[in-house]
This record gives sequence, structure tokens and C-alpha cells, in this order.
Amino acid sequence: MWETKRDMKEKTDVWQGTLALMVLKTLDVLGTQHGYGIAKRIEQTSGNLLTINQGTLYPVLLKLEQEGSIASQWGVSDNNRRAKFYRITKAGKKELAAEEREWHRANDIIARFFALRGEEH
Amino acid sequence: LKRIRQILSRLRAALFRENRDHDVADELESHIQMQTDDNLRAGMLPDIARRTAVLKIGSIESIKENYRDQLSLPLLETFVSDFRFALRMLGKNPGFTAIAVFTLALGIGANAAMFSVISAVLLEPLPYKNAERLMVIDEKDEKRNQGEAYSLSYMNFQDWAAQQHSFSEFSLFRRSVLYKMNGRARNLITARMVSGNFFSMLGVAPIVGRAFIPDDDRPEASPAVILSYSGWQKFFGPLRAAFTVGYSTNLLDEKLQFNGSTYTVIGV
Repeated sequence: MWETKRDMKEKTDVWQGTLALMVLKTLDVLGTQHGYGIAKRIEQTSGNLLTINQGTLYPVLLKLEQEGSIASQWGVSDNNRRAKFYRITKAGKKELAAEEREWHRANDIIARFFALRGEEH
Repeated sequence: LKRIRQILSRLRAALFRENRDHDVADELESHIQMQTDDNLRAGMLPDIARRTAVLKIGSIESIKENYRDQLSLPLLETFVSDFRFALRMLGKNPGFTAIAVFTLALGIGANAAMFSVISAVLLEPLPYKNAERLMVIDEKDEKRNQGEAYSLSYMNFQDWAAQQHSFSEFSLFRRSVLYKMNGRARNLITARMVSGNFFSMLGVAPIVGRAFIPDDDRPEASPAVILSYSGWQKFFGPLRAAFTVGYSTNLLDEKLQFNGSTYTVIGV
């Protein structure tokens, strides 16, 4: 996704998971948004550290939609382009909250291990 | 739950061939357009703006493929298309199809028929009381290989019944033929002679009237007959027969002439 194709294959699951989380959070904040808007926003939010291969965003959007976390509808963008707009659903918000908690917990645990290592040396 | 929703959605897409290929292409195109717009605003030349946008989104075909895989259940999809192909080929060769279908129908039909016979004859118990304890005993002249089945004489039956110790009940069931005069013609009627305990032994009751009782065996008893339902309809007319069913009234006392003697109809 961010790397070569082979790496992408190996890491797809992890990255898809995190990308899905980013998409959910972005939609939660922005409300209704189209794919391009989401991609741009993710890049901005990451301080342009992440330049996502924008194409990979769409399979993630499809997956989220199939899972019922987001819903889509065709509409017209600000500068009069036809685009498909996505919004987060109730189920999606629940999912996001759960994922967020999970992420923080994992982060805390990892952080503790890093801290431990610092004390020893 | 997430997983189930996803599978359901895929199933729907696979079965109804929801064509979203088109949708994806539109969506990607719109994405490129917007990126191009932004690039132009940033001051790029038109063709470079477009090219950069296309480069940034990556391989469109690969995205579409990814999309398609995700959209349906590949296994089911191939199965469905194989099935369609098979149907098409069958449609092309109606003769072959007819023969195949006919063969299958014949095979299935024959097996079904065979099974229903086997089921009735071998598997299901007879619809009588203590069916597993019912036996048929018959006699036959081994030397001359003579003797019709079910033709035991009444005298022999009485002897057997008196001398046997193996069965709790012993009842006669003997073939016979009655004739009934119809004008000047004689109609032959297949009948069975049974002893008075025959019906009670089998645990069967007539739908109208009464069954035979041992009293009917006495020599001085008046000859009595129980008709089959179709016989009842034949002799007394279907309308009358239909009305009598369910009323155990004394229908009866109807007399029929068989073999020149008078029989009382006691049941159906």
C-alpha cells in the first residue's frame, strides 16, 4: 500500500485494518465525504507522513460498506463533480469506539514494554 | 455480526449479479477528476495535472479486480457460471437432454416404485393388532403337489384349533367363491370364509354394523356376510352406502342371495 507490491501483499491485513480505522474516524469527524476527500484528509491528518496509494482506499471503503459500518450515496461535490459520498452508520460508530479502545490498550501495553527496556539499560 | 453482514452482502451481489463494476469505474473516474482539479488549481499544466492524478491513484485495473474479488464469493460465482454453461449446452442438444432426462426419470421412478413396494411388504408392519405374532398356516399335498392355498376345510380347522398349543388364537381364513344371480346370468364373487374370531383377532372393526362373533360359527346360526366397501356400494348403490357410513345403526338386516341361500348383511 505504502510500499512495494510484495510488501503490500504480506501486510495487507494489518494495513487494511488501520486504514479502515482511519477512514471511520475521518468520516466520524467530517460527516459525509467522498473517496477523494477522505484520502486527502487522511494525508493531511498524518502531516503528509502517509502518502497513501489512493487506489487502495476503495477496496477498504467497499469492505466497510459490506460490513455495514458505512453507507454510500451518489451526489455532487462542491466543485460540481459527480461523486459517491460516504457516511458513517450507527454500527460504524460503535465499531469505531470499540476499535479505538482496543488500539489505546494495545498502545499502552507496548509502551510499557518499551519503558521497561529503557530502565534496564 | 460484521462477518455475517459481509457474507450476506457478497451473496446478494453474487446471486443477483449486481453489477458494480460500472459503479467503481465511475467512482474512480470522479476521484481522478477531483485530483486533477486540485492539481490545476495548484498551477499544473492540464495534461500533467491529469497524468499526476492517474499516477497517484495507482493501477485502476488492479483496484477493480480487487473490488470484484471482494464483491462476490468467487467459488459461488464459478459454480453459478458453470451451471449456466451446463444449461446452455443442454439447450443446444435437446435430443441428448431428452434422453438424459428420460433415463433419470425412469431410474428414479423405478427406484421409488421398488422402494414403496418393499416398504409396504417388508418394512412396515401389517396394520393389525400384534402384527409381529401373526402367522399363516396352510396345508398342501406334497406327493402330488396339489392343494390350493387357503383352502383348509372347516373340519380340519376345528381339529387344528383344538389340538394346537402354539397360538393364543386360531382363526380360519379360507378362499371361496359365491355366485349371485343377475337375471339369468351368474355373477361370481370372490369371497373368504372366516371363523367368528377372525376380526377380533386382527383387531379390525367394520365401518358399519358389527364384526363376526363366535356365535356366528354355530351350525344353527343364520348365514351372515360382511361386505367390502366396494361391494356395499355395488349392491346397495353408492348414495346409500355413503349415508350409512358412520351410523352403526342396524343397517342392516339386509338380505342378499348368494348361491341360492339367504345371507344377512351384518357389516361393511
